Amino acid sequence: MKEALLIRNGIVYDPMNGVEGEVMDIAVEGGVIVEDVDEREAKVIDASGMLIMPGGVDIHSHIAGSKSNIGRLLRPEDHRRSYEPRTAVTRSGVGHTVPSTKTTGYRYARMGYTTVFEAASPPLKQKHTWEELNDIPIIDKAALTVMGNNWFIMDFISQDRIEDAAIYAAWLLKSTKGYGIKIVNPGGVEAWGWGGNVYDLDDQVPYFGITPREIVEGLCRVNSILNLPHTIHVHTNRLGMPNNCWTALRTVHTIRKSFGGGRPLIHITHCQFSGYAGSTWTTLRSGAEYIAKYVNSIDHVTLDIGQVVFTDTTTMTGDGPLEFRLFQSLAGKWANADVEVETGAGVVPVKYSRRSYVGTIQWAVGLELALLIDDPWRVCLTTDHPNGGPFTAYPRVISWLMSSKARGKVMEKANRRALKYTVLPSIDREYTFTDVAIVTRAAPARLLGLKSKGHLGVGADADIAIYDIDPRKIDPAVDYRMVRRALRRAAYTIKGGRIVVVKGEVVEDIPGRSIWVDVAVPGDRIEEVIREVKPRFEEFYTVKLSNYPVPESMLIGSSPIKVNPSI
Amino acid sequence: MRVTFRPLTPFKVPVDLSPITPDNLEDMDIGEIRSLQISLGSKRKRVDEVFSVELSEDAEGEVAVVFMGDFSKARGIGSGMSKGSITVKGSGGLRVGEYMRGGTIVVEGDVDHWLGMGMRGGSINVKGSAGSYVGAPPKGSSKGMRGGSIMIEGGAGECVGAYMRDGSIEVKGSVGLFPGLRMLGGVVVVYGDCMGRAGARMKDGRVIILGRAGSILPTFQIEEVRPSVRGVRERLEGPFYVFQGDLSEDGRGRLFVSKQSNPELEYLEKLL
Repeated sequence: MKEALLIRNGIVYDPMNGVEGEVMDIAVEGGVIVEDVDEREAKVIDASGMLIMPGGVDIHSHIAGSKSNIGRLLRPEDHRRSYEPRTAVTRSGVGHTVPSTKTTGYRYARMGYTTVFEAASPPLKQKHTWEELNDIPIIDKAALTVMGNNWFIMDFISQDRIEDAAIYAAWLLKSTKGYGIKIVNPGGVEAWGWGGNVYDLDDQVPYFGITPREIVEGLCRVNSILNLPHTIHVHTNRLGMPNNCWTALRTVHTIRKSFGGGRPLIHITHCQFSGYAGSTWTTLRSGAEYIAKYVNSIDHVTLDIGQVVFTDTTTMTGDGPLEFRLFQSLAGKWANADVEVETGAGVVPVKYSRRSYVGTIQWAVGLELALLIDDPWRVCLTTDHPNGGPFTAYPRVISWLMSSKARGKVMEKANRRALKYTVLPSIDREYTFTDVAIVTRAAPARLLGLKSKGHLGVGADADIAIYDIDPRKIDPAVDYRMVRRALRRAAYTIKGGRIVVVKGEVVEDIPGRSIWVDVAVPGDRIEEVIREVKPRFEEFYTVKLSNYPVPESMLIGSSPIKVNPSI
Repeated sequence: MRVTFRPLTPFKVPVDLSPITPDNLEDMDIGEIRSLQISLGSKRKRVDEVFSVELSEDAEGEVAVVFMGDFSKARGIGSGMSKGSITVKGSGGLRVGEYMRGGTIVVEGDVDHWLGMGMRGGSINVKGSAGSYVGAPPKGSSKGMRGGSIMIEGGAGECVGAYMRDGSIEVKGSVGLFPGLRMLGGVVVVYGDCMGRAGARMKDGRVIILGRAGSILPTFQIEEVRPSVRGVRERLEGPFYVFQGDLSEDGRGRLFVSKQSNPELEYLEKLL
């Protein structure tokens, strides 16, 4: 039976289709949005005076995988801070910054988010990642595959065999059910295996005769050969160090030559963490101005902000050396992991304090990035969950973007000296609801190449968020608290045509879909490369090549996206 | 007001008593107290399904809660209380006085681990002995005791006063390993023996051991021999070896070890 649904008289914001706050009806049938349904048979939702947006899309969030699990193990105190009891339809769960799988799904759904991308999953750990993603209810999910420090990829690139690297990358994506190419501190994590790091784009990666610049350029070419829906997703070198905004900009600048118009080439993720100027921690400055100026002048880069919120959180990243440095400066807990042949990881609990100089600078950099970059289509809203703060802080971040009064309130209590070295107090730009719909829905969906997400046009997935707030009646710049409250608890969340949340409470626990890319590289080409790789693969890895791939049968609701590469 | 709770049957499963505090009971009448919800094992129960409750209004002043019987299966007696008193006529169970802010708790029997967990104020008196982690933070956290006083007439287990920031802990009996682990302030007085490794990674604060010290960590450096030291209420007569430590941290902490009970440490006097 096809379930029909009719949402009446909502105030719709759908920037991808140019709809800005018009009162419209939305019809849903069979899980997709349709032109019209039979009113007598459809379930009707009266959304008059309510804000309707497409379901949220989170481009970068660490929600599953071995790294999140290390975070859970490392922080039992985090479990006690926040817990959700069982209800008739939902299961119980714990965790504020690293919530358990079920809770992750419910909390995203409550905020009206329906698609979330796990930001970094090493191919070797992808089975674990998919087990956890399978367990996350309601939302659609996908995982970006970490390739920036993969030995075979680095070998192919250093030998200038880009096409073979592309075939290997395609095989990795296909066999581990990944979605895109994630690069974490290119070369640096491999150097961390030897206790070192790379500090600039032209530092040599030990034993590989390659530089981070070559890795980024090489994988960018791989990405365009494979025609992947998403660009390369780069966590730059020197992340979280003073004066790193120039490293980020050089990373972007180095691939400008391959840009011939059209789609962007590179996505700088959690850009806030690579947006610092000033040579030491005591003279740290905001580098957001330089980044924004550069981004405004070119077309081939997109970014997500990785906003910091003032809270106690857990940082977890594949960037092992960064976490070790954090641990040294904080002297708290630290976990480190090495994923053989591929990458590493580290986990450190962090408390961002508004009284601290560095904390305030970090907070300001994220907001400056979002406010100084003119084109909202190239900015995505993230907190790099849980590195900058848990994803449940999104409504708060949105209220800061929408209201300079809300920002002022925070600045009153923030570190005064730090605010002198940021431009945030002088920015009076305020996001409109359209801008918010872009940075939380439309832009991430477009950047990820998800055709049926992030908009409400006919044929799109019926992922709809309805919030109990009337954008015609309230001024978000003044009543930012109302906006925050409304966005925290969606009046209705509709996922695939099913009503899953009503008034901020989950009413139906349905499994989400698993999205991955199926790159149609000719089988004989893959065989050729794998035959070459196999002896070394079985020498280096502790697993056999045949045990490495993730079978499609393991995915719940597997929905591959076919991609035709130019090979 | 005085409220007495007697278990109807001995507890076979853990019972969470954290809702029964003087703060919560202050404005309640007997009917409301009887209908309070508590957890018995995995079930939610009304108080009168588990206890027989007796209320006597004659006692003036603050609320006094009395638990009669064996409460070694109980968890969180006096959780977060800020006034009044709780008396346990029997054993106390896990986490007695967790996050306590004021008032007094007296336990006539023994208590289990995490006595005064994350405590901030008030006083606890245990007539029997305590388990490990007295005044320590819950697992994983680094926020230990931040005020108040704990007095244990018997012995205690390991890690007494771990991550303690302020307040005082006195143990009349002996303690296990690591008293004052990662201490940041406050004072721990052990009148009996210690198994060893006192004050490991302490940054600040004082650990006083009147019995045998067990072992002195190599990161502690002898400073002087002092005839007496300031205890919690009175001066303690020594003489005491005074150690500075833990030198792997800032070394602002002090470890006092009785000279009389530890004759094997006499060689350290040559280093002075």
